[in-house]
Amino acid sequence: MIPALLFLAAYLALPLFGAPAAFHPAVRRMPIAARVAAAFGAGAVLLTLEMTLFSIVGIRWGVAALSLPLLAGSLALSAAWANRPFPGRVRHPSPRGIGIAAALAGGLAFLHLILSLATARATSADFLLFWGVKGARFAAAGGIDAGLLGFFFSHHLVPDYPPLVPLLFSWGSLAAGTMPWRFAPVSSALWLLAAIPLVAALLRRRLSGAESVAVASFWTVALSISLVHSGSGGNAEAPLLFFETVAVAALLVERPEDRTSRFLPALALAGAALTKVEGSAAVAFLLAGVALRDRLERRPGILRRLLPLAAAPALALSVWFAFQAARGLRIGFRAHGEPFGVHFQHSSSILAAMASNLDAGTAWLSWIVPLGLLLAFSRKGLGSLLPAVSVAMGLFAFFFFDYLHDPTDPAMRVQWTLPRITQPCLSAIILAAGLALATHDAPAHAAAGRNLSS
Amino acid sequence: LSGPLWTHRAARIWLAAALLLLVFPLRRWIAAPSHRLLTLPATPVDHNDREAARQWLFLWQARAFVPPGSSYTVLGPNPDVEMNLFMISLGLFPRAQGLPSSYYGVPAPEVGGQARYVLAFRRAAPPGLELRRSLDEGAVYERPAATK
Repeated sequence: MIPALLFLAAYLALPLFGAPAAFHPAVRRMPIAARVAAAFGAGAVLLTLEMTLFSIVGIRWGVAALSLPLLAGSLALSAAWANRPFPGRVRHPSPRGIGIAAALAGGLAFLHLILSLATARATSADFLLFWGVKGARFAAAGGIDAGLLGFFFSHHLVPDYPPLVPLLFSWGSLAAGTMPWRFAPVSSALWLLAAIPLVAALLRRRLSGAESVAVASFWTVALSISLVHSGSGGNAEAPLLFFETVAVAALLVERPEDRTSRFLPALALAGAALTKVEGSAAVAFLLAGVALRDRLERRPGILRRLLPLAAAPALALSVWFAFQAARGLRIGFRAHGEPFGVHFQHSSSILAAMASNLDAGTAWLSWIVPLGLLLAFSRKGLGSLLPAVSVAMGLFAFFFFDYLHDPTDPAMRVQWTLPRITQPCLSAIILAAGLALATHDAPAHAAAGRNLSS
Repeated sequence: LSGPLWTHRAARIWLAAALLLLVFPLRRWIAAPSHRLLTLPATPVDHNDREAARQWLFLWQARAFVPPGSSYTVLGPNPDVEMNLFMISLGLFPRAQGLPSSYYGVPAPEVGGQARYVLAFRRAAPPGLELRRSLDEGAVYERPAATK
């Protein structure tokens, strides 16, 4: 029990490492829960980069050795950013009845998630086979174990995969003195919990208080059920969902006249790239969607404002690739077959398997509701939804293309992987539908004298 | 009808849909055997992969008999189980060196044969090994010094 508590405490310390994010002018105007959540994500990214850098230069990991530099930097930067002017805090009132109903639905769904994780009903097999394995072994080695990653019989550990999830498990294991195998999958719930206030706060920039909490509530329910249904406890899906959702939401709610900093989405994209290979694919699709939207809406400075969104994940990944180079490992990600070695004869089987494995634990309703709303209410303004739509459609195309590389019918692999890897797509569709429906209702809001931009 | 729940159309739609989705986990929890609803798990996969849970438990029990710094191999009743055991063992024995006796079904006796400890799950041990401990579903053996 004590190792589990220490492991949890190590995760709860992440916002201290990432505290400057909570004081950045682009985040500081959000409610306190959203600011802590942003600091949590920033702490995870910064700790990952620090642990990788330590492994490059050969400094052995330890709780104090890793904490102290981060805490010192965090304190200094937080103080500096806290003194910068910001536009003022935004109040987020929502009608009490709706707030209670939203909290009740979201709370019940989160309870389902955390009970399923705590009672070993939703643990990913991959947690036992490689995510947790890397975390435990790196912690024991006091650094990223290049010997293990380069070992001939480590192929199944996917040695080239980005390091964020194993390194956070290592961090928790260092604090706990051991890997608490039975408890560690529960940490996945923290990522969903952290995403909720950020989703609500970001949506509030374009939606009314009632709408933003209602969409955030649906998002919480759909993704909690999906995380359990897809057995995503202890793998990289929950952190990837957090980072991609925050990035999509932050860019989706930008108004045409916005010139505000893209600090938060850039940070989230760095996190996505450090979490999974699909994270880099999502970065590419999101950048394309944002660029196209900005072009369609004739926004100024398109390339200049895209730069931080591309630079942050590129820099983050370059640290991981630098480790690979420094330790004589193969640099980059391993391709899944030859790029054009595709087997189109499996197309229909793949599409059928994809359709049948998208039920998300809710008989497809989690998809049907937002897709239906999106199709019904986005006729006038699909262009403004491109950041979300491009990620969802792009990732689906990416997964389809990946499955096409299997020489034999990949229906079984689709069944194993699709329910979990499409969760960021579901998240993006919900966010887009939330915005589409609210935008459609905007004239009614205006007539009622409500200020949507407050 | 009046009140905020009835005047915010979009919010009402989202909340109604959210409540509808909750029926699915509710059904799942109602269907679960009541005596096992909230029991703490013995393994990380008690309720979603019983076979992996038994493999994990075997390796967990074997941990005490494989000293840090030593080498070990795992033997299973078939290549799939043996591979699964090897993959799980790397995490459960983080300070020991895992040497596979087969890898994705390809026999590697020359590699596993170098290991000092042999963890045999649901199968007989090869001849010439010394039994260190019998476990629920297998045993831990040590290779005699002359054959290490």
